[in-house]
Amino acid sequence: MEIVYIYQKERREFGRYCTFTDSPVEPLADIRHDQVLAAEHMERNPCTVSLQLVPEMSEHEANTDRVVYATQGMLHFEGGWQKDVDPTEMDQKVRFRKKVEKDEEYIKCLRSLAARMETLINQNNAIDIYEEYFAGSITDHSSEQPYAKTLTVFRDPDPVVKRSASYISWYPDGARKLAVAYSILQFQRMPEDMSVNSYIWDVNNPNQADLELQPTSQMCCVVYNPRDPNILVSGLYNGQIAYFDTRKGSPPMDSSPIEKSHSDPVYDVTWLMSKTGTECASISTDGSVMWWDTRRLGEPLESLVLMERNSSIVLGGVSMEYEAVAGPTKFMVGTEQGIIVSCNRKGKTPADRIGNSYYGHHGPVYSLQRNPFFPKYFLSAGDWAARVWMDDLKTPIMTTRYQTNYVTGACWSPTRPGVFFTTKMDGSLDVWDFFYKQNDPTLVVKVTESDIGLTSLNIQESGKLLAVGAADGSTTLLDFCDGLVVMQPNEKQSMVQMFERETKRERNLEIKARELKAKAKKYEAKGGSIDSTEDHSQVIKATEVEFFQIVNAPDETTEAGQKPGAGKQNIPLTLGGANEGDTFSFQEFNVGSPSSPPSSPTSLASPSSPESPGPASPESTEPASPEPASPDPPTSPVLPTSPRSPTSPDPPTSPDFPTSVTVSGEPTSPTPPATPESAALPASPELHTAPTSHESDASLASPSGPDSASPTSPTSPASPESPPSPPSPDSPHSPSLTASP
Amino acid sequence: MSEVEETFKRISSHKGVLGSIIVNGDGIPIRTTLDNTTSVQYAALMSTLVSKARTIVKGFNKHDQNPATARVKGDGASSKKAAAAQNDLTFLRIRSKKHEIMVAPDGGFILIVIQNPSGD
Repeated sequence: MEIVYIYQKERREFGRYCTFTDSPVEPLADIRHDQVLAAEHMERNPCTVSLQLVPEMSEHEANTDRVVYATQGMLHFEGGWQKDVDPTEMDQKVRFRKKVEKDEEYIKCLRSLAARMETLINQNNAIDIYEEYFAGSITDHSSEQPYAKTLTVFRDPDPVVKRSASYISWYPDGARKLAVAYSILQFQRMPEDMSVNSYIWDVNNPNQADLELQPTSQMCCVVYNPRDPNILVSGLYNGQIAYFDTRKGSPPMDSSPIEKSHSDPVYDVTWLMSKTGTECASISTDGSVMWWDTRRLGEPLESLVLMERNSSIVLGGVSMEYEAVAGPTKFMVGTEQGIIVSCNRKGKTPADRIGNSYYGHHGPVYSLQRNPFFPKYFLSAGDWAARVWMDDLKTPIMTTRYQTNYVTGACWSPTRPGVFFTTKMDGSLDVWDFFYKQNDPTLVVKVTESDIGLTSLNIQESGKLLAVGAADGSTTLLDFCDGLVVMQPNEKQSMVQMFERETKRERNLEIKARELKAKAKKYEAKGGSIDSTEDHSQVIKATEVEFFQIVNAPDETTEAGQKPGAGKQNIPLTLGGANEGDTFSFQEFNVGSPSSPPSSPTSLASPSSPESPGPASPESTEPASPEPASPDPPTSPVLPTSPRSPTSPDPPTSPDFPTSVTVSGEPTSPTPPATPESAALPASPELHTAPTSHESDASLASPSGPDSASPTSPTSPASPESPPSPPSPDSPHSPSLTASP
Repeated sequence: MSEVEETFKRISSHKGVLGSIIVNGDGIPIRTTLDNTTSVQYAALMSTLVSKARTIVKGFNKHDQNPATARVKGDGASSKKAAAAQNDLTFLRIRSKKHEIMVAPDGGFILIVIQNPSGD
């Protein structure tokens, strides 16, 4: 039904003013009740209506304009002279000045101004109104919770290809700029048309790079010249060395000819202490160290092939440490093979130039740095841990707990001797404060997502700002709280003591190990090698019996295992295994410890392998002793639970396995237990039940043997030496060992 | 003439004074104890700063008839109260990390003295 009403207006009325008048009501249409439709009417029941009691909301976003900052300077030229004076003419200026000076007004003015000025000069000289009242006081920050703030994130401007920020260098004069090298270091993973540019960032402007560096190949490392903040040297992916002058723009000033450069990517470069300040050194995975003078990059000044003493294996360098304080010609190289080599440039023959080598890392040594306060101690990072070393010792004096993720870099705090930072593959940054605690990092900062590893880090001289580069090309600038920056009272002395104590401990262990070795040799010379095969099969049998005894009385043992007293025997084990670096826990056992410290890092070298031979040994009833992996027996039987457990040679320790197992899940465990366990031997007989004590002694004693084992061969090569060595320290036990079954 | 020279000498003889410049209304250094480039820099920058500061100080007076609050100028300690009716900038002290720059504007001239208060 449609109701229509038509208003009509004559044409001539169009456009005129309307005149409204009252009119009587007039129906336009009359809609009647329709019976037919009423019959069809149907009520809807039930009726569903949805209601929301929550106030209605809407989301709104607005993208504001980006504020662009720019820094400008102004240089004033002479000007403002009167028209008749030519500022280039000296005599005209002098004449003008003379004229002004003759002015009565000038003299009057000067008189009043000078009087006022003098009052203030005198005032300034009388009292220092800006005196710092609390300058000398040291605030104790130790009670504060450490924290770090993210100040800025600099992102790689290349939008397409995700390059990692592989190297960071701070501007040497104040925290103003940082140079970041971007590269993809995976072999043949670089897209065809990727950019090779790297950038210098202004700390205050993350939106736009301060300067673009345009090398000929990807930049792997870049370092500011500490003497001249305009000069940077960089190592390229194709092995070239290039140097840049920021005043001259983006392209490199000069670069080394490719045929005389490295043949692999240049992983690290450093400026050297020289008269001209233009000398630098570079290392590469091709195994050579080259010295350069940036004024003449035509060919290297010198070069050296990295080879250990008495060895023909070339080592590829991935990190370098140079500190003028430690010696202007000395430097150290961290290699891909996990060996740290200390070198001296002042050597006549290549062999003279290479000094000590330090073993301990199971993978490339990504960072190497001397402590800024005590240069004879240095920090290295690689595999799953960071280690602190002392120049004269071949083994690390302190080691951090093994992390679950790969450690990709480390650096010391420049202001606190006990603080260092490590970056990890899971995107987190660990802050270690050895002055406060040694087992765990004091602060863990999650810098990026877990799947983005951190690739580089560098701390600013003030110790407050840390730049961290990640695999996605972002560089995060972190600001630390004062507690991590300001040196604590007595920190220096305490750290020196701590380092010295650890050095002494490590040295004692080394001496002891040497003695043991000598003894073992003597023993061997006598022809008194024990027939370990037989012994061990018997030992295993005995152990088996005892294991089942324990298993059959589970309540007692588990309880006993949990009791602190009963667990004591294992305490050293768990401690040692948990954190090799927690050297303090070792302290008590040092004194007469017959263990060989070198053994731990070396046999550690194959974190996984000791476990696999471990279980195999009892199965074939081949003795545990020829296995350098024998430190495992306590742990190994438990790891592969199902097949091993019945034959496990070490029942008494089993109640405590849960702890040691968690530890052994990490790559660290296999060996560290060896050191403390064997160290704790004197105590063990009381704690163990009689037969087991001997047995465990035997199996545990053997670990001390494989010190000479090469990192990669935990199996046969080491074995001939290892069995003889254990008996000697435990000579009182060895007879009983044979007797016990 | 000798009086001017004497005044300059006296100012320079004070402890810590590194240099003094007198600048005319056009920003031209008339007499200086510093080298030409430095003087030109100081003269140019200080005369613009002084003119800006002066505008501000005068602006205070315009809006605020209370002379007590209108006395905030340059450095409160050193500023002297001008005539209550017409306020004016009389002194400007700028303390930087390296030294203190003291600026006294008067009439057509500005006297700038650079002093290192901690040094000698």
